[in-house]
Parts: sequence; C-alpha cells; structure tokens
Amino acid sequence: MKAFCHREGLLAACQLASAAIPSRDVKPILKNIKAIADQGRCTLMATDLELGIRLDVLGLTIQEPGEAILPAQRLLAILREAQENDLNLEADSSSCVVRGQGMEFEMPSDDPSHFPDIPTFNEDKYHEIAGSTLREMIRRTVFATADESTRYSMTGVLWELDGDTIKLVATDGRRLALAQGTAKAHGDHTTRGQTPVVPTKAMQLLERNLQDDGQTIRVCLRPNEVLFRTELAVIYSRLVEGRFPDYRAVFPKKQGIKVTLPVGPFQAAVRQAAIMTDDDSKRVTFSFGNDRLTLLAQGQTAGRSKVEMPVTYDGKKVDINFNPSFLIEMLRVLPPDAELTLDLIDGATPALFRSGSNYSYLVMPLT
Amino acid sequence: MVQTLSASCYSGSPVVSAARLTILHVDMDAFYASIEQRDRPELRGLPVIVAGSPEQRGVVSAASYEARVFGVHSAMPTAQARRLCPHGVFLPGRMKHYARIGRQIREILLQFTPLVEPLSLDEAFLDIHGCERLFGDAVAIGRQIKERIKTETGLIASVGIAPNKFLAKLASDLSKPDGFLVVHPQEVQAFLAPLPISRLWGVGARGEKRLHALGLHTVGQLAVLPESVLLHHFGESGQHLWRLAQGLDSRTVTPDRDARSISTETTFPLDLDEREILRTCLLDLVDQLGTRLRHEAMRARTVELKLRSADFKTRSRSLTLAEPTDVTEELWQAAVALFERHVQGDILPLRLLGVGATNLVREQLVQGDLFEGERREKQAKLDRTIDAIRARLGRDAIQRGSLLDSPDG
Repeated sequence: MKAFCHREGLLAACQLASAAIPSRDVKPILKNIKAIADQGRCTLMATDLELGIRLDVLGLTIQEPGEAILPAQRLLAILREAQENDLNLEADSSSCVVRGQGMEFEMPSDDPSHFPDIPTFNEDKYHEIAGSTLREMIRRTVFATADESTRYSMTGVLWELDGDTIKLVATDGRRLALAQGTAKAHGDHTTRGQTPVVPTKAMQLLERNLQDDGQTIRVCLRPNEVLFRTELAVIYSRLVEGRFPDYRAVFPKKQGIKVTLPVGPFQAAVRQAAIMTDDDSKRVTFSFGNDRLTLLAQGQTAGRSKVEMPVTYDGKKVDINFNPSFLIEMLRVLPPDAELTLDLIDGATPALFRSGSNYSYLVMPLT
Repeated sequence: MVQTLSASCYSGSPVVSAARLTILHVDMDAFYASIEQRDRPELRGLPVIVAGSPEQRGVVSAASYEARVFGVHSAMPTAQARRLCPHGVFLPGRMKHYARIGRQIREILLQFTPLVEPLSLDEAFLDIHGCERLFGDAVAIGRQIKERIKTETGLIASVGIAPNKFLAKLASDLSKPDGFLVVHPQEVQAFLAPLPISRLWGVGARGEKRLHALGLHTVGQLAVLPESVLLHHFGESGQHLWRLAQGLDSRTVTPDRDARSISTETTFPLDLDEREILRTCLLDLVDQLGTRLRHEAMRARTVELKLRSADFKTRSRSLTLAEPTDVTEELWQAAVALFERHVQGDILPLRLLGVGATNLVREQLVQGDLFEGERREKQAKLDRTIDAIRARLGRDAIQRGSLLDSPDG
C-alpha cells in the first residue's frame, strides 16, 4: 500500500488503535497495527486476541491500495517526533517506509495475512445509544471495577439492555456504581436472562472512541462476545467469564436517614480530611448530626484532621467510616455543581449516594 | 493485583566489623522425645521416636539421641525409621503437651530480653543487647537460660552465642547435645574455616556437589576467594554464600510484635517435586501464618511465597490484596494463586517453601464487602474458634479439613 497522510490524523488514529495492543508478549505480530487501504478508505486494526479494534483513518489519500503490517511503537514515535504535517507511507510485507521532507524511516514488516482478523459489524439485532450518554455512563461506572484477579468476575462492567433502557453496573465488592440511560432496541436485541460483563480494558477503549459528540453507537451482545460500532470504529471484545454478583440484592430495602450534599464542597471536605489518612489507616469518620457533617481522620503516624460542613440533618447522630478514596473516585466523575442525596441506615450497612434519577453509588463502610 | 518480583539476597552493612556478642540461639535437644523420657523414666536410655501417625504424614517429628545412633532423624518417613530402628519406642506425640512446655520455655527467654524471635516451639533467637546491665553479658545470660530451662522444665537446651544469627545457630548445632558454644567476634574466621561447606546456610546436597566440583570443601577455602568468583558461578546466592563464609549475616532478631512481616517456612529433608505434597505443606504454613497474624492483631496487605529450588536459588513472589486480611481462607487463596502460577516446571524440585505476610497493618476496622460479608464473617468466626482451641489444646488439636483429606480440599 501507498498513501499520503496527515501526520496528526494518523497519529490520533494510531494512538487509539494501539490501546488494543497487548502489553505482554502474546504473539510478536500483535505488537503491530495492520493497515488496509482500499477504495479510498484506510482501516487500522489492532488486537490482543481478547479485544480488537478496526478504526477508519481520516485525512489519508490512498495512492495504491493494499495491506501492510505497521510496527506500532516505532511508527507512533515517528509520528510524534516528525515536524511536518504531510508524510508519505509506503508498506508491503517486507518493509514499512515513512518519508517526509528531509527524512526517511524504513522498518522491517511482516506478512499481513498472519494478522488475526477482527470482526466487522453486520448485525441486525443491536441497541443504539447516543455517544455522549454512553460516554458519561462509562465514566461514572468503569472506575469501580475490580482490578484484582481474585475477583475475576468483577473485572468489567455489566451491561443490561432491555427495551429502551440501558444500565451499566460496576463493582469491586466494596462499592458499586449503577448508571442508567435510554437506548433504542433493534430487532428485539436484549440481554434479559444474561449477565454480560465487558472487560474494563474494552470499556476504556470504547470511551476513548466516544470523544466526538453527536454520534450514535451500536452495540450487539452475544453469549461470549460484544461488538460496538462507533462512527469510525468497530470494537470487538470477549466477555468476562464468571458470574457477576446479584447487584440488586445489595441495595438497601429499609428507609434510613436522608441527607443532601453539594458535590463540589463535599468533595473538597473529603479530600481535606483524607490528607491525614495513611497506609495503615485508610479511613475517615463521617459524623452526621446538628445540621453538620463532621469528617475526622487520624493516621497512625500522619496526625489528625477535622473538617466540618453544614448539611440539613437534625435527627439522631449517625457515624460511619469510609475509605475516602471510594468517595473521591465517585465525586470526581460528577459535575461539581450537582447535588447528591445520601441514604444511610447505620454505620454498618451500605450507604447509598444518588445523583439525579440515573446514577446510584453504594459504598460499604469500614466496620 | 500487584505482582512484584524480588530476588532474595542479603543487604545491609557487614556486622562483624562492629560485631558484639549479643545473639543467642537456644535450641532444645530432641525436644519431644526428651519430654517423653522426662515424663516416663522407663523410657530413659531407650531409642524414643515421636512420629506422626502413618495415615497422616508418617514422618518422624523427633528422635532421642539413642535413636539417632541408628540413623533416625526428624522429617524421615516413619516407615524408614521403623526399618532402621525396629526396636525403637514409637510414640504418636502429644502436641498440646509439647506446646505448653514450649510456651513455658518462651516465658523464660522473655524474662531476659523482649527481642525473642521464635523459630518453632523449641527453638528461638535472642538479641540481648541493652540487657547486659541487668543480667550480665551474653555468656552469663546464656548460662542462666540453660540453667533455668533445666531446673524449671527438666529439659536440656543447647545454646549458641555469637555476633549474628547465622553463627549463633551454627554454634548451637555444632555443640549439641547439651551444648554451649561461644563464638567471639575475633574467633569467627578460625571457627568457620575448617567447617564443611554444607554447614553454610542454604547449601544442600546439590549445592554441595557443585561447590565440590570447584574444589571447595571447607568454608575456609570458600572464604579466601574473591566475592566476584562466587558471584560469577552462583549469581546472587553465590554472593550470599560468600558473605556467610566471611561470617557476615545482617539479619536482625525480630519478635512478631514489631515485625514488618511475619513469615513461616519449611525446609524439606529431600528436594520435593510433588506439587500435591507441596500444596499440602503450603496449606499448613498458611494456617500457621493466619494464627500468628491474628495473635498479633495484625492484618496483611501482601502475601509472599518463598521458594528455594534445588540449586539453592531463592525466589519470592508476592500478591497484594485489595484489602488487608487476617482470614486464613483469604491468605490461602492468595498463596495458592501464587503457588499455581509460579511453582512449576524448572523451579521444581523445591528444597524450601515459605509463606509470608508483609505490608502489615494494625488498623482494626475492616472494609466491608457487599457480597462476601456473611461468608467472610463465617470464616473469621471459624478462625477464632480454631485459634481458641489451639490456645488451650495445642496446635495439632485441630486441623483444617483439607490438611487431613485430599490436597485439593
């Protein structure tokens, strides 16, 4: 293949695609990006065999169609370091050459037919979701996934698609985030009766592909895999194996006390109090009463902190201990001028934070 | 999950240059067998062998000196001991009784210094620095300890006194039975030089062979080589050997209470390559580790597996948990995950298997779990019950089901 390309456009596309490149050595060819230039369109492909992406590149003029293997790491470095904006890319199964004014890079290549194929999106059963809605839902949930392999079934986000509702749920067993939105079903696509969990890495890659507002995303969930179609990309991923826990069962059934908290000031107070936590004691005591929230922290060696903020609550005094990181991570993804409601039963049961009608966040206290 | 890889080696400043005689190694002679002979005078002078029942592990846990004459030693399969010493008095062992006496001895040691690091029921290191004004110098303290153990328990301890742990243990080992040996800082080289290289900590049968192949038979021969030669032939473990041959050992005596880590390990009498047996040993070690953590009211954020292969290369592999724990089941899950991942292929056979808890925290509040709360509470309750029974009746009074049954429990 042979093409004129716009440096920044190709760099952005390669960066997006390279997120699917395996970090460990699975198979040497997977350290590359495969390019297919055909009928005026250029598609980049990358995969770690669990996750794959095909991504259309804009701003590329194809002179000679064809397929090629591009060494990802070196190509990215060239695209980052080059000064000029117009580059010439020429590649076949033996070499990959990038030329610009006064520079030329030649890298060894590989046979493109050795690169594993990544599915295209040819589905008639799928859900459609507005890109901006999905992006926000992902941001509000993905941070709560488990990253330890002992909780393998929680290392991704649970998708529930049914009728015109989409729900994303993520948990690591200590806190749980649930975001809800509207979607449109085509061909009776539904996840009813299944618990498909999309790996965290795939969710992050999807989010990075949702930067342009105004696009509509298609998603099709199959028993062991998922396909997403954005404006420029198709993302394929295998699903997380294992049983996602029954998240509905852990939402409190009883009515407790209710406190309204402004996101910005609450986040500031938690961050301030958390200064005095340390590795040995990751806890802040939240004390509600007398129209005041008092946050107390005491590290083993750090010292202690006391931070107060006014709240509207005058009932029986309630104390609850949280790992402040679990609150800060949630508060960070909400708009600072939004409001949160907190439902609390006592210091030993999960506390429920809600923002609007579409976002719930449960946190287990330290007891 | 965070995984770290660290090669085990000794670091820290050499001890000998500024060495003082402050480390004691106290080791009971044929502990279990001696207790039986003390309690039952008719057994005195007879070869007494305390051995695990054949259905369980079937190994000798103690042999009296009369039995050792026949070649019987601890960790030997019971069947083999019976062949070597058919007229021996084989006893099943009374662990709770031995444990009680072990605690009695521990109490005696703690009266001399708080820095007591127990290695097992019948063996401990002591650091007596700062205690000399109260009880006299290390030699005087060693004499008092030996004497008090004899008068209060009727049992004999061997005592090694030296500037560091390696030398102190060597001293008590070499002077057994009824030993008392002092290695003064200025005598270290002379003490070590004639010893066979197998006396160096970490040198097993294979290591010995490799060293012999290089013409090295005594510690003295090894000690005069430049460090680089050993590093070249044996890598980091060579460096470690070289330091030991100089009489250098910078490990400190660490009582559990101040420990930044708690660990327990077992060295096999023969290199072991059967994974199922190793797994069972691991469960036993994790079980002990859990009890010690709970006893010290600490929880571990990181679980570490220590593996020494037949070429005496030691490796540690660790796993950091999402939340610190003192629940045996959770420690086991982490340990067995490390085991499955790392104990295979070229690392086998193993000569040593150990498990440690690091990144310890004292915070008493526990992060709740949305889904596992009940299960974890049940396991914690089980742990507390087992600990309580053992505190009263001794360690072997109760065992984890899977220790008794199949290895994959």
